[in-house]
Amino acid sequence: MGRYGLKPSRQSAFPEKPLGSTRRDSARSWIVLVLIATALVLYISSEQVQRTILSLIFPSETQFTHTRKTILQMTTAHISLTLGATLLSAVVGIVVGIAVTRKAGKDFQQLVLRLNSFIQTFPPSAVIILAFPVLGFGWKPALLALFLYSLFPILGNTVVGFQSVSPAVIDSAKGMGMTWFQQLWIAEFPQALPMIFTGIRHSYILNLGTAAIAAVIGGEGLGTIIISGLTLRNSALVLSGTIVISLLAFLGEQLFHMVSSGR
Amino acid sequence: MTTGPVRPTLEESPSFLKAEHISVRYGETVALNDVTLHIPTNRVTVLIGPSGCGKSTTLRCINALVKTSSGHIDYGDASIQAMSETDLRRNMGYAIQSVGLMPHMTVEENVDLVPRLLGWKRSERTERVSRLLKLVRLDPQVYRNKYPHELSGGEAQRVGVARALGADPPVLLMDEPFGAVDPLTREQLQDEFIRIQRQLKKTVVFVTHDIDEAVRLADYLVIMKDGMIVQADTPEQILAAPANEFVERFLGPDRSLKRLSLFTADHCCLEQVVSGTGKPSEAQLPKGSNRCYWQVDADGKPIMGFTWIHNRIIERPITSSTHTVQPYSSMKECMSAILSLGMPATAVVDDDGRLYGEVRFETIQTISLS
Repeated sequence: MGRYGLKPSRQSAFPEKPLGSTRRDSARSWIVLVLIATALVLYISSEQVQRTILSLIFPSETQFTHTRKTILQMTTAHISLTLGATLLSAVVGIVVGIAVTRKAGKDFQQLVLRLNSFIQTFPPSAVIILAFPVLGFGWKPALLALFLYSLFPILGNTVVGFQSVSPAVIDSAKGMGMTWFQQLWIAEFPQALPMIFTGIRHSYILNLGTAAIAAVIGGEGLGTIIISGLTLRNSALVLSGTIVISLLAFLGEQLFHMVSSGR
Repeated sequence: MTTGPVRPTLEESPSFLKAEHISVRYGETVALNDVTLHIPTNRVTVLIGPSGCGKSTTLRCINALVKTSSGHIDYGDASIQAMSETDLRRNMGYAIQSVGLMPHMTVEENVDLVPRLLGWKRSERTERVSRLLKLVRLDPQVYRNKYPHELSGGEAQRVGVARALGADPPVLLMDEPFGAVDPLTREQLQDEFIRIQRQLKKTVVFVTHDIDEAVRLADYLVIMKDGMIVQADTPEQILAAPANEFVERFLGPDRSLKRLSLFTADHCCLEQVVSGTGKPSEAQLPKGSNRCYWQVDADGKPIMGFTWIHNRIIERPITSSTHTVQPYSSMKECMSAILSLGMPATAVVDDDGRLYGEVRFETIQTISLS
């Protein structure tokens, strides 16, 4: 009866993905995500928690918080800077990446890829410090420096992603009468997406670290507490900023992992 | 029973797809040089020639993937240069050697692409996909939700053909569609193609470099060299009278045997055969007769052939599938079956393996002399 009477369910259509293990993996991913998020929220929202944890590691220290700013303020600034720069590079990187993989923009493709490998050899601190004389002081130049630095991983990956689409697929997409846009959106983009996504993930992590250095030129993120810690020779302050940045990195990685594996 | 050339003649298929004096130049190199080609409607036109002869270029000119430098191609009353490229291509199925299935889409989504582009209704499309998959002999239940990487080369190629037929286009362009699969699969795909084409009667332009495939599939055979057409005619005519030494060499020394691939068993098959479940009686197989008697089992499957040779009755057990042929087998395969069975005829069996008729050596001889 089941064979003829009922429409096969959606799940039975994917025998290669055992349902049970997918569900278990998915549950595990959510648990990890919630754990990281809870830890983060607990740490940044309460000075009591910060003090307790830091005094365990550095019992001799007396100062565990920044004098002018709370961890929460610095974290918000840090996230804004990181996400702002990543979003900006993602938009610009994908648009430019698509442009140089089209017929009209092919001439610039080599230039873009070379520039990409060239920029990658710059250490993040050099980027920020070199940007200072040109761009000045404050969060705007910090954002611009971060954007420029994280643009190329996304741009490069977008180009490579589109290059990896097989010519046969493009030929048959054209041959079946797809318009320019359909060819891009239906045939090419979904195949380039995993590469692009890896680029965005890489940029996010990169920005998270570089944004700390941006404190030197007036970026108001968690770098502020780390740098004061270094100046005051107070390792507890350095660790405090580092803990939050690490948690943000874990949180980001987990989110990217869950999105890319479709959970 | 019908004998002799049974392929439809080309006179009754006026062309609505005509290439007039087309040339394609890339800078100094000339890919196509003043080619004029009228594609017969509802027939299979095969373009063949050595690599670089311009056969693929000609095909790609038809759906405007390659722009002609001079000359024009007419589709119905209009020139294709005046039509929108996307409309033109959606009216022409396109299948290529590397298949080019979208790797991120299921078989169903791939086959569904052109109907979706044309904005067909969802219910219509689901129905269409099932019909097409059945047509290329893939079970929709099994294959609908598979991804291209889960398919064998032959299966992928079938999906490619189903996709090309997606929106029921009047024209089908096929660029070496069976070029990348093993010889056995290729032969199966050719059989399927013949069956499908008899059913659908599309206007097909087919590019290949395999002369056996060309002779087998073509109603109209176009031999090309250096961007020009050397000879264009029915395969019968070309095999009987090659235009020049190049064509002759291209066809190879076994031209007469190749001609046999032009005919299929059902066109010269005798349905009145003598058969029974026991050994033949005197009345069924008179002494000295050069006819055959087929002994069949309870299901009607032939198991033994009897005939008189040199005043002796001989029995040949039918043990292998190479001893019999099917209605769609070529006369070349019939010839081979006759030789391997060692009888003056071979048994023709239907899809279930039941005796359907026989093909005699003398019939083949008549055909090859006609």
